[in-house]
Amino acid sequence: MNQAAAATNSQAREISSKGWWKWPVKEVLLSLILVIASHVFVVSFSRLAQWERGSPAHLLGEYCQWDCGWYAQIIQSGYESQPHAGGSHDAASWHFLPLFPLSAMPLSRWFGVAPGLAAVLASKFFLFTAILSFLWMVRDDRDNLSDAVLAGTLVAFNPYVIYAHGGYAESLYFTIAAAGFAFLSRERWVASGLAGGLLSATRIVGVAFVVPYVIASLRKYGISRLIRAQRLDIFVGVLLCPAGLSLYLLYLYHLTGDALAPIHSFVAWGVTSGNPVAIIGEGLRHGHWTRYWAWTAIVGWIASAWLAQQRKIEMAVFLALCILLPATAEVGGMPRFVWWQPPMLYAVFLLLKRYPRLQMIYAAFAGGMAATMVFLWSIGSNAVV
Amino acid sequence: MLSSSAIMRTTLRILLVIALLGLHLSVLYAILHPKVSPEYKAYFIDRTSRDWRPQHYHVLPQEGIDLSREGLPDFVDQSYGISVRESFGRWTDTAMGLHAGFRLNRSFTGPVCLKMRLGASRPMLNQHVVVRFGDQQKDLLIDQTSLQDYALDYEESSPAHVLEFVFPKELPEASANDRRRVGLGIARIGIFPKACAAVGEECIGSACKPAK
Repeated sequence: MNQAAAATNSQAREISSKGWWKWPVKEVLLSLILVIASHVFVVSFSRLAQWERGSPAHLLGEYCQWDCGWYAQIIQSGYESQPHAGGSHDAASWHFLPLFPLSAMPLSRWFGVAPGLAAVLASKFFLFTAILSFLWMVRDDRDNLSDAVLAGTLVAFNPYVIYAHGGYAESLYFTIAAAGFAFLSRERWVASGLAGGLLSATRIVGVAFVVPYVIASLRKYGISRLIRAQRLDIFVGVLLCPAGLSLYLLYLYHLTGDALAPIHSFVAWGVTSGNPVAIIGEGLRHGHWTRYWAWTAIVGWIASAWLAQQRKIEMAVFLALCILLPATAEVGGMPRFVWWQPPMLYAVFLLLKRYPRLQMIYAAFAGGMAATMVFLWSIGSNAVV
Repeated sequence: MLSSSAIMRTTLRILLVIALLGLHLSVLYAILHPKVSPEYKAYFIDRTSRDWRPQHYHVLPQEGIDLSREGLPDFVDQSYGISVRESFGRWTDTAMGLHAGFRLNRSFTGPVCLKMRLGASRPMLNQHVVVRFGDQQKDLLIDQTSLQDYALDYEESSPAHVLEFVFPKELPEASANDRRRVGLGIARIGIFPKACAAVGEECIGSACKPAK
């Protein structure tokens, strides 16, 4: 049995060494198949929800709900200079960062696609790139094609895969974050910093990428060697990490006069910052969805601790920070911050690879959650926003 | 000996470092120097106000600031330290600061009478609160949780255009589900440009009683 496995592994490595192009082609094909399968999955369960409600099936553009509406507005008319949305006229789109709407804008502006549909199509496209990017990130941990299928499936059938079909920035964020970690592990410092810069222009938590970047460079060189070796490329990378957010903040300063408008605009949602432990504790006390969201954060932190134990310090710290930052405000939306992080799926990948018997259990959990979330999304529930 | 391409690469990287440092420093400057209206600053940055571009309705100061009504009178520029509207009026909220009140767009000089319909939260019951109008201030003891009428006399020597309540300390949270730190429930405040004794029957509410 072990001999057979070893033979398969050596065969896989042989294929890998025969030609670098063969694997990317296979990865592209695999990603494509998984995106289509993911799309069929989402449309099917959405259709069930529509049957239940007796309403006609969703058109693709109608998957654009909640935050996607904000993205659609940005795609259509850019950012507003003053808040004017909502019942109190105090809501603005400023905390929806620009890279995702910018990426969907050509579809809308040049091809006349409706803004909501453009966002949905863009998020689906970025699901494809997210799978590809994750496959690249875990390449060194893959032994054969079934590992690649496992890794790709984790992204395509993420428990919260609905966000990749609903016009959200999650799939783009995941693509860039996975690429950033892939570059980082290969010591491509400037490229990794550039990925960090793009990440910080996609979602606010993306700016946390600067921390694993610094940790990786310090682990590699140490502070004294880093200075002695005059590694300018590492300094360029560090400064690139928050550059996307910095550019956006400068733009907002020019537009609104308030560089921190993305943070300040949360006032319209009644969100204030506080002690994350107290906020998680309160979530646990509340019950129902709030308790579930709080538990999701805790599970994410457990995964982060496990990654640290596996000496994957950069990913562990990044995952922990990406949960900690939103946890200082609220637990709502926490599943997005946990399940759409490459380190989280990387931890799941390593676990399932190490303990294959868990794969069936995880598949049941992820499939069940994904189907439930699609159903809830389709009936307009705010349990998944 | 460095090759010319290595020199070029190093020069490019140095320029990039300088440009990126410049970018981040510019952002730091922008963060520290917001160019926003006082209303925006109070509502979004300091979070001391719950009124963002309120509708303004026309009434005279003596008719009063009716806080059970949506919006603010046209003689009020802005409120601060005051929570959202409820059926009776609005609570002050020390979570927004120890000062709660109104900036007026007209000023008052000479004798002024404030007629207020107020109620205390449990933590403020039988506690003193300072009621400041311009540079004059008076102590007021609120001895009822239900809404009662109170009247205070002022003699303004210089133009007064701020009316505020000053709380001695931050109050406890209203409840586990209500994080506000409510102090006074304000239903209405009338501003009369004369002494309270001369106001007489112009009291707001059914009965006016002198401040203790």
